[in-house]
Amino acid sequence: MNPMNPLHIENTRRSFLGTSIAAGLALPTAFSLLSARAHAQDAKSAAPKLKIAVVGCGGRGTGAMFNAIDAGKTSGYTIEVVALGDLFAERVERANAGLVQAGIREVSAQFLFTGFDAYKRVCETDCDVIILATPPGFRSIHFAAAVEAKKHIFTEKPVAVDGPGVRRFLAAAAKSKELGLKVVAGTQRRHEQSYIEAMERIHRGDIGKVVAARCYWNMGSLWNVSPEATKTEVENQVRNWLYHSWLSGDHIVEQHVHQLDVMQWVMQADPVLVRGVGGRQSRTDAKLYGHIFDHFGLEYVYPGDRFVLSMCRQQDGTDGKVEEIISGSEGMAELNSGVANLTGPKAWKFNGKQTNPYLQEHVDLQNAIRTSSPLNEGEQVAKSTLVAIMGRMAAYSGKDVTWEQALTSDEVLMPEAVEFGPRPEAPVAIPGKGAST
Amino acid sequence: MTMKSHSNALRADSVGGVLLLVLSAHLFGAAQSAAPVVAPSTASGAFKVSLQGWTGELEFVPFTAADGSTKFVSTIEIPWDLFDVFVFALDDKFATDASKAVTKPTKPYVAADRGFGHKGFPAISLSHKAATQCAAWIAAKASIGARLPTDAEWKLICAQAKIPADAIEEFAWTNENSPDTTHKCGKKKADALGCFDLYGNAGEWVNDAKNPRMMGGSFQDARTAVGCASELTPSEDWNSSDPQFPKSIWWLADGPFCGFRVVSDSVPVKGT
Repeated sequence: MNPMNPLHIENTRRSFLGTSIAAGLALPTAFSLLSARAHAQDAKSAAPKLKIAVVGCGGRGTGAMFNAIDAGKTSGYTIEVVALGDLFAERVERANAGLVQAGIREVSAQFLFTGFDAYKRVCETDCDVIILATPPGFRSIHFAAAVEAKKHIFTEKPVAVDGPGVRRFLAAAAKSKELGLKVVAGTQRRHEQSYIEAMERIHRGDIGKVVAARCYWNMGSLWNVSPEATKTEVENQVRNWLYHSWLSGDHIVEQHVHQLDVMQWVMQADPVLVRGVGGRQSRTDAKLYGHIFDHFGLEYVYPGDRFVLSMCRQQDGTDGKVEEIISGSEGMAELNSGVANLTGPKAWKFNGKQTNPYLQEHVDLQNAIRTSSPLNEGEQVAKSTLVAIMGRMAAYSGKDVTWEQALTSDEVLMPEAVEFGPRPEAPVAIPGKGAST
Repeated sequence: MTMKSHSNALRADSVGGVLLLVLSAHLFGAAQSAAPVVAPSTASGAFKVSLQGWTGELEFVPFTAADGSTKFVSTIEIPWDLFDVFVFALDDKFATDASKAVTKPTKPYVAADRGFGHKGFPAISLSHKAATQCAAWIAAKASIGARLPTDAEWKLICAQAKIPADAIEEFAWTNENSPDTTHKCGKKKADALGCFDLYGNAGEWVNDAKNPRMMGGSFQDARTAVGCASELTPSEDWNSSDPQFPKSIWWLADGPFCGFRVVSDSVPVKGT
């Protein structure tokens, strides 16, 4: 094996598969390949068409659009992008320009929608699938609208930032099931072969009874956008959305939800309560970093005397660690993107073919649509989101938070309607001082 | 299972204004204060460089270039604690106009060290552009002619390193002795030039006017595959799972083997 040989890369190593953060420009070669793929698809005139639309054309939403286009090659669909929506015109234009650059038919001008209501216009089109990839605060509202419009949905994670948002999402998810809609979430580890195989082994008892687990997303800080005096506070906060809990839920919700979702997958249950600590030491400039924390350390108590240690931080110059470690009565499992090692009497190491999970999640969605197979991850991702939200609530308040308290919480971070205008910066939460947002 | 612990906290910005180090003063005389430089550390012409904002030292050793002149190569692959100072601007209070002028990468959107280890471990997941810019920043900070080697230079360095074919495991982290992770720079034997990890550990970016290359092989490669002849052309597969559009030009989502070392055409400028 020569993993430095590009032909072997996908079989071997830790890919650092991430979240929703834009960064830089593409290699031109990527376009030429995409273009070739698109033309190959056009040539297959017999291939059925699947019409997709995007709400939220940032780096991740546009990336997901190309993942969906690419997935058609495997699912057998010719993918047509029929509508693009975003709060900001330049995002929509950039996504459309990306299509042109890739040699794919662009979206006609009357189907490019901007503003806070862009999602409504997208839902009114004849698209089959909607990709939801705005900042998370908007998600549950957009998801509910997409379900009302009877669209299949790819929803990025997380799907809410507060208890009311989770409830709205759960209600819509239940309805989407009744309607037979397919829903896939951007918790892409669920579509990653190393995780799928490891989880099968863990659940059948290869490391014995699961007694505890640890999960980490420790890294440096992410991008930020400086506010501009000519823009309203709402616009400045949306453009710098990571740092405002009404939009992102804080980094434990926006990013660490990936690991907490794996914990849910391992435990096959919801946590009873969470307690923990958090704070803000290295990102203290409210102008650049809003009011969110830069570290959390939490203990989740699961039924059956099991517990999960959850740790996440975004502090520059610190050690990175993004993985999950599961302790069983007879062994352990170490999981990471492309990596799965089990120890104990039934030791095992993943050595299979690792596919790109960002692509695979769209392949799985499209296959489910094509074959009318059940696939709906709505409830699952809403619960994982609530796990993250209750962790934030516990760290912000300094109080133990139960699952029921989080689920029934009437604390609203995300207003039902948003428009450009003033929005004073929220204070940084101080444990023990009352605020839990 | 590899259970890694990371007990070494980074203190990259804790150095205060000073630096300066070592040296045998016979070439340069007394060390200059407040200068981001150093001087020769051995009679052979090797020298060490300190960079304000970073607690470590980067040692350079001489090699003979194709035209017979003497150039210098860093003994180690550039470690994360140095790269952090560059990418996160941890040297803010020491930045100069020249160092500020170097375009920095975007911040990585995930843990680019992949949990392999950080302080002292080679910086990885780097695009050729990220490596090139860091070298330019080192040059600006240290007043040396730091840059990526050309592929011809790298091969010359490799040849002069004289790593014995029958003892590669004593000099290199490869798939046989480290299938899952990089290791701290400089933990294997030094080669004949005084360099570490030329074979294996992180692969090393080099320049060619048109064609960047990755040299030397990495921890992922078999003992028989690392070495002076190991040369890869970058592929879009090295960043295929970046979920963003446009994909990052700085970070390689599927390039855990992509690191670099630097060469210098000159010794530090006295008194700069």
